[in-house]
Amino acid sequence: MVTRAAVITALLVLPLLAAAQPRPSYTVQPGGVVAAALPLSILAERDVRKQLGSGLTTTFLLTARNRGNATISGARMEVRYDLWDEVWIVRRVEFDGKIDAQRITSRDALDKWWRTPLRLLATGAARVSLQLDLNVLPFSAAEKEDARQWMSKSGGVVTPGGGSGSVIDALIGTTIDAKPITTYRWNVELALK
Amino acid sequence: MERQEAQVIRTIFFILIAAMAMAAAAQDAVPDATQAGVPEAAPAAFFIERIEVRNIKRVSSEVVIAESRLRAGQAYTEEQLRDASTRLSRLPFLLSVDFALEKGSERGQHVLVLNVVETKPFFYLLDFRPIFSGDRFPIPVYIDYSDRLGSSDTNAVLGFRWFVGPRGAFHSAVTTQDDHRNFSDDYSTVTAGYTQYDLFGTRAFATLNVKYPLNGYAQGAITPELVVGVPISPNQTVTLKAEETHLDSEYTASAVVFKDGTYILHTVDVTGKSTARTFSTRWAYNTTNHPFLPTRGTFVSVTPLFFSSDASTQHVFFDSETEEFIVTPATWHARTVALEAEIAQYWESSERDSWSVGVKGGLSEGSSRSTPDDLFDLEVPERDDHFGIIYGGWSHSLWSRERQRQGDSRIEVNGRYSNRSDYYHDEINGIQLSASWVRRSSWGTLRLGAGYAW
Repeated sequence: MVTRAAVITALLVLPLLAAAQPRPSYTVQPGGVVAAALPLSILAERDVRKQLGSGLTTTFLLTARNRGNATISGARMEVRYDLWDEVWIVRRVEFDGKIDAQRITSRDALDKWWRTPLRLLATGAARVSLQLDLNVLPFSAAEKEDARQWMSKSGGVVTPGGGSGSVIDALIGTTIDAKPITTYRWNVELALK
Repeated sequence: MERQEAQVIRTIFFILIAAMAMAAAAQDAVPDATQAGVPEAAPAAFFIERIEVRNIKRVSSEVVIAESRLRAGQAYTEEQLRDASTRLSRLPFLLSVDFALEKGSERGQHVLVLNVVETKPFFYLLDFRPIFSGDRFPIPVYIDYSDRLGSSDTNAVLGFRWFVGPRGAFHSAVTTQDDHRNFSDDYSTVTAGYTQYDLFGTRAFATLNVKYPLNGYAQGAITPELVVGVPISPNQTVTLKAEETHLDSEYTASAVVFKDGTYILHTVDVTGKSTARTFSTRWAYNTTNHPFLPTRGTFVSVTPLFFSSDASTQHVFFDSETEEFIVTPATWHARTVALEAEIAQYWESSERDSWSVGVKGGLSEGSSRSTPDDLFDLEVPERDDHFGIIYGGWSHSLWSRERQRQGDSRIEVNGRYSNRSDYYHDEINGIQLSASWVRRSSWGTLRLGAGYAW
């Protein structure tokens, strides 16, 4: 009887736990641009929090795979806490190479900046099936020329428009050298029209 | 092999080596942000006033700092710190290390904190993968286990390491080794040694080993080995190695004579001594993340070496007329120059998956002579040898990233094609496939598996 109750309880609780998993929220912007806002709970994760407090840069690398047409796009965010100025030095590079850099003076402002949707890709399709991977990397993005060339030639990065340079700018970073602190993967189906 | 063909191979080999060296040197050209002084215009560089190593129990913190190749009183970019983190992850006595900054004593200055997880003082490296071969016997292909970096010619090590003083470490170990060289012997050793790190504050190290070879046909004598490593850039090291191996052989030669309906056994004790010396200089560019089984990074090495062997022995001939052994003193001298190179690349395609591809090879030219001249039947008094291996593999971690801080558990599939000339100048080609399970823990690295070669 006790076992049955435990099983029933587990069956009831498991979906709730799954629902409680942090997930990004998505928005569709003009021009078929898909943007994602990452959950705040990521910043509160033990290992991420530890890295954010290290005084070194934490890089959040987002890779978006459009499973419909097998294209890859991405964006990244970098966060570093300056120990002496006591400010957050943040930078985001979106899929089209647009860069936004700021100095943020409070944790509340950092949370607000974090929740600002990050533009991931542009598509003309009515629906997209996305696989979104987030790699949390220690150290800053090192846009080394050799890494850039390697990624360009690897055939792994393509965009519908063919202009892969900005995507490489967004994706590159410590992807070649750094060992991720943690990783996430989400799958989502989005209706754009 | 035809002489022309050998010349073509040699030319291609040298061109490849030059290209590898230039490519690696170009990759390693990092911006110089190490000049002393607090940076003002470059916010991504951090002035480090002090380096602290935490969670240290047995390992010397000064050794960790020396091996990071960072210095207090200088400024470093995050890229340079990341390279240092990778260098430390290659140390066999550290399992993982995290970097963090803390405020220094003055504005703009920092304390660099290295949080380390150490390995145990006892260590092992066991590579047990029986390779089953095809339809010929004895094993028709050249089989080896050296699809690892670091001690690539060693398939078993069992030892103990303890740190003494701020920059020294003693070690003792039992090792087995099998190199690709026709001109040198393979043997196991009992080794005791001492390493002094950060020699004269230069980040160089020197290791003095005393080895006792355990050989199947000869007794070993105490053998010294000196290894000096000099870093020439954050990722490049020149390693000089000098080794002298002494082996004493002793056996009983026998002859049986049938006389007057009786078998008579005649015996004589034969002794011999040999001394082999190896001098090598290895230049290596290394950005990999593990001493033996990396999952990412580049490794390039070029090793010129000189080998000499001098042996004195006794030539034994049984004269059936006098029914006596005729024992003649004899000597044997061999000299070989060789050039060996390796290039390997490792990629992580996902959190758990890693791919690798590599090429290694070597060329050697040797000559030998004996006294008396005709005592030994020298078929090839001058000889050229070569070996070449192309290898690749895939590995998948059974552990998550978080858990990998405490080691790793991986499934590996490896393949290789090898071509070499054997001692009698026959060409041997072979393909080898193996599957294995690798477990890395604070005690060491274990690889268990099996393979097939044809």
